Amino acid sequence: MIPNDRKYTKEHEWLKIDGNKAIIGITDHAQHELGDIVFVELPAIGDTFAIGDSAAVVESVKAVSNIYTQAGGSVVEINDELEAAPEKLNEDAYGTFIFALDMASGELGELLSAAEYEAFLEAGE
Amino acid sequence: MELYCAANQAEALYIALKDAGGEDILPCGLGARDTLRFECSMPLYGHELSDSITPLEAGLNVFVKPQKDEFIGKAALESEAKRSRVGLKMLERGIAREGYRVQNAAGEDIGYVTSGMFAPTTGENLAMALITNPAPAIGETVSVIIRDKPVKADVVKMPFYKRNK
Repeated sequence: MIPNDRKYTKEHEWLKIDGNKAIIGITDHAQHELGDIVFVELPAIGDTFAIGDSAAVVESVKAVSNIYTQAGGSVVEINDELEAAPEKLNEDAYGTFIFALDMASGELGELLSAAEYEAFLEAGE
Repeated sequence: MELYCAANQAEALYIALKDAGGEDILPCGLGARDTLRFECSMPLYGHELSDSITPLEAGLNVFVKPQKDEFIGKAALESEAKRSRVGLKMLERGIAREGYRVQNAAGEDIGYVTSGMFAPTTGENLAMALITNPAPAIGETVSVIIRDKPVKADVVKMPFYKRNK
């Protein structure tokens, strides 16, 4: 089930928009493809990113994966629980955010709805 | 244990093993095998060994008998090894991946990571690296360059893990 309360990217990230805030994580498909996640590198509060920048890194046993942001802005929140427990992304990808940005300019890149993301996944299989 | 069979028998063998094992066994892939050999610090061809890394550099002296009169490759092993395989344990956050550069305390390039990952049995981020001689001794601290940032690691003894018998 792909939650309807947020947007998605073709890089398998989710974005939940809450006013000026964009809360970002990875999709269940992403965690499944990566396998056991063993390391998360978080941005620092105050770091600023433009659309398309790599803002975090998620590493599984097999792969290193950049998390690209489709929202521009500065980091206002990070999920530092992930430093000690990266496996939370495997256990509950949609319930575990990685970081949140304040989109001062309200800038957003190309985003998909839940239905569009589902169709995108099906087309890729 | 390793089993070898004719390719056209492999599926039948796999199914027979899986049926015999029932719920007590799980299939596993190359990733799991790589973790197992890595924790035991066994060199893998293409990583710790290649046509440009000698067995002496890889620390496989036990398999080389240079006193023998003649063997293929003897000449190549007669000069002193230029590099050594060392074990690293990350002290700071980060996973040293294959190909990442290793630097000494002075910030000089001394080698590169050949294999590195999270070791589930020890719970540590570990790596093997090929380092120019004289390589740092066990207990010395070096840096692994992860995404352009130096991350501290200690030189540690290999194998990383040994099963209690």
